[in-house]
Amino acid sequence: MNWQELISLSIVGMTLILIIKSEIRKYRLRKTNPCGGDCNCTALKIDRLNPDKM
Amino acid sequence: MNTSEEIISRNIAIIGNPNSGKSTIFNSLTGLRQKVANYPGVTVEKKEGIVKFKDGSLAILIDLPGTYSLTANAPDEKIVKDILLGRKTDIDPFDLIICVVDASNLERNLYLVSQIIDLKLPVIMALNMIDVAEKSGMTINVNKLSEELGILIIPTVGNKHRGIEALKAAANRRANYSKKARQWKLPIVLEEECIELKNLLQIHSWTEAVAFHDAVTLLSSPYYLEEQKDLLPEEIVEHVLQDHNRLNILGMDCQSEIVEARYEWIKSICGSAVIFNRNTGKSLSDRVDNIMTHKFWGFLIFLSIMTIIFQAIFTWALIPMDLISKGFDSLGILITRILPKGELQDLIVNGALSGVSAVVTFLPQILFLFFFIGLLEDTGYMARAAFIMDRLMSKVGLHGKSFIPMLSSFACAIPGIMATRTIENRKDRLVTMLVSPLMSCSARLPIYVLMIAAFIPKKSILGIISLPGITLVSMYLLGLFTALGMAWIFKKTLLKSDTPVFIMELPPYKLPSLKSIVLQMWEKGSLFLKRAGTIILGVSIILWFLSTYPKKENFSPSVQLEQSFVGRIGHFVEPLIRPLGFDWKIGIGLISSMLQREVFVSTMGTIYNVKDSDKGESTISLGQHMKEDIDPVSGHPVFTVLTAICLMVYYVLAMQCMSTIAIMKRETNGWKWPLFQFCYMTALAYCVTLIVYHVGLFLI
Repeated sequence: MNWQELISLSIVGMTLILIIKSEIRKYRLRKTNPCGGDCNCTALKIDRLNPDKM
Repeated sequence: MNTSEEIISRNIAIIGNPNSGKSTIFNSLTGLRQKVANYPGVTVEKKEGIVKFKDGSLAILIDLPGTYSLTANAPDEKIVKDILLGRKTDIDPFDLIICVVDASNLERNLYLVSQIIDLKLPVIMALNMIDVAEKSGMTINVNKLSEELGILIIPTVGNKHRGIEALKAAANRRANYSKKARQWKLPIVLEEECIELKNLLQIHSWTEAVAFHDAVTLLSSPYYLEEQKDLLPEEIVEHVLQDHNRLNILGMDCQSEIVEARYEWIKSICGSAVIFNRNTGKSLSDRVDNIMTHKFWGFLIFLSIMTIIFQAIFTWALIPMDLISKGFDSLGILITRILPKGELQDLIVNGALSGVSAVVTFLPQILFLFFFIGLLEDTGYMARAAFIMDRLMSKVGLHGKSFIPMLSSFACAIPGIMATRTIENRKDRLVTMLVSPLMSCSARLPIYVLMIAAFIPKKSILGIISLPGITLVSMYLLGLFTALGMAWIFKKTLLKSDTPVFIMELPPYKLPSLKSIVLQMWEKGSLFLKRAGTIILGVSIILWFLSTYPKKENFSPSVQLEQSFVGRIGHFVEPLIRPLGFDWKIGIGLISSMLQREVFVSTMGTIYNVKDSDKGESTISLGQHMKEDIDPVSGHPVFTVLTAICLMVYYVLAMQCMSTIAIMKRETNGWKWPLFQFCYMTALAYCVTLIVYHVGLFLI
C-alpha cells in the first residue's frame, strides 16, 4: 500500500464516521425538537395529528 | 442573551389577521429577520425577539400565528386561542398584546379585536397600512375609534417604518385594559342563556372574561363542546346540551346570531369613526384581478408565467453555470499537475471534485428559481395562484388552503408538510401531506436540468418557446396534476370527508422588496452549498471508494467499475429496473439518491469520471459522458431521449427523500403514514415510468 492509497483510505474512513455521526445527531435533534425538524429551532409544541384517532 | 435575561421584565404578544402586516411590524420592533409572504397562514411557528425600549428596558415579543378569530379550529389558530385563554401552561401570561389591524379591511379585522377586548386582556391596537386605507378613500378618525373601543390605537405603516417608535413608546406604558364594558348585545333569549352559562362556569372557578368567552363559544359551536367535553364538569355539559335543544326549538342559529351581533356593533363603530370617500370605480388591484383570477385567462396567465420562469431559469443560468463548470475543470487540472498520479489524486479529482461540481454547477438555477418564487410571493401573485388553483382543488375534494403547502413544496416538501398545520380538517390535512412531496422540489431541479440539457433537442416551438423549457414545465405540471389526482383518489377512498368551503383574502398587489428576495436567495443558496460541501462531498468520497475497490490489476476502468462494490450493487438491482429502461449505473444513482435526490447527479459525476478516467477527457461535460456511454451487451446508447424522460418521470413521482419521511413521521405521530407514502409513491413512480418507457418504445 503506497502513501497515496493510505491517505485516501483514511479520508474515506473518516468521512464514513462523520456521516454516521451527523445522521445520529440529526436523528436526536428530530426526536427532541418540538418542530420535528433538525434545525435546532424552539418552535411551539403543536398538537400533533394522530391519524389513528380519526 | 444570558445577561439580558436579567433585565427582561415584560412579555408581549403580537397578534392579528393573516396579511395584516403583523410579521413586518414584528420585524420592525425586534430587528429580527423573518420571511414575509403575501398568502395567508405563513406564520406557523412561534417566533420571538427582543424589543429594546428607549429607557433601556427589554421585553420579549412573541409573534403569534395569524388568525381571523378566537373560535377558529386550525391547529395554529387553536394555539392562539389556548395561549390567550391561559391554557398553555408552558407560556408565561402576557403583560401586553399588540393587535395589528389592517386599516383597509377594518371591519373584518375588528372582529378579532372585539374578542380580545372581551377577554379583558391588556391590549393596544396598531392600525396598520393606514396609507393603503387612505388611498382607497377611507378617512379614519383614530381618536374616535380609540374612544369607542376603549383602547389605545397607534396608526402605523409597517413596511415604511412609520409609527413604529410611537408603538414602542405605547407598548412601554402599562395598564392598557379596555375600560369599556361589552357593548355588543345578543338577542334577549341568547343573552340570558349566555349570562346563565357564564355564571355557572364562574362557579366552577372560570375567570369572568374566560367564562364569557367559553359560554359564547359553547353555545355557538357544537364542535367546541365535543372538543371540551372531557375537560368540562358534567353539570356544564348537560346545561349546554339543554341550551342547544332549547335554542334549536326556538329556531335560533346561535353561531350566526353571535357573529351578526358582533358585526352590528363593529359596523356602528366604523360608521361613527370612518368616512368613506370611495369613488364607485374599482381599484387598480381589483381591475387587474378581473383578468388575473379569470376562469380561463387567469389559468392561461398562470401557465404562461410558469413557462416564462422555467424558460428563464434555463437560458439565463447557462452563462454562470458554464463559468462554475470551467472553474471546477481548471481546479481539477491544477490538482492533477500538483499531485502525482495515484489513488489520492483519483479520489480528489474523480471522486470528490467531480461529485461536488456536478451539483454545485446547478447553483445559478436554484438561485433563479428562488428569485422568481420570492418575486411572485412579494408582489401578491402567489395568493392569486392559490385562488386560481382553488377551482381545481375543489374538484378533487380539497380547497385552496391545501394549495399553499403544495406551493411551498415547490421549494422543499418539509416546510410544505409543516404548513399543512393551517388546515382545520384532519383528513384534508393528511391528504395534503400525502401528496405534497409530489410537487417538484428544488432538489429535483439538477436532475431535470442535467437530463434536459443533455438529451432534449434545443428546438423551439413557434419560434419563441424552447423545447427544453417546455419539458421542464411539463415535469412540474406532471407533479402537480399527479398530486391532484392522488388527492382525489385518497378523498374518495381512504380519507373520505366533505369538500370544505374556502374563503380567501387577496391582498393588494405591491412592489416587491428586493431586499427580502435577495435574502431568501442567499438563505437557499447557502443551504444548497452547505449540502454540497457536507453530505454530497461525503457521499462522493464513499462512492469513489465503492467504485474503485476491490482493486483488480490490469483491468480497464470500465471493467474495474463493473467489478467494484458499487458495480455489484448496480448489477444486483438491474433486473428490477431493466423494464424501466435503466441500466446498473442508473441503479447505483437511484440507490445513492435515497438520501437526497440531487445525490443522483453527483453519483453520475463520480461514476462517469471513474469509468472514463483512462480517456483523460477531464473537461468533457457529464451530459456528454452520459450521451457517449454505450451498452456493451446491446451496442445501443445507455441514455436516450426516452431514458432521460423516464428518469425524470421516475424522480417526479418517487419518494427519494429521507428528511421528508422523517418529518411525516413527526407530523403524523407514527410510522404508518410515512411508510404508506413511501410505498405508494415508489409504486406509482415504477408503474408510470414502466408505462412511459413501453409506450415510448412502441412509438419510436
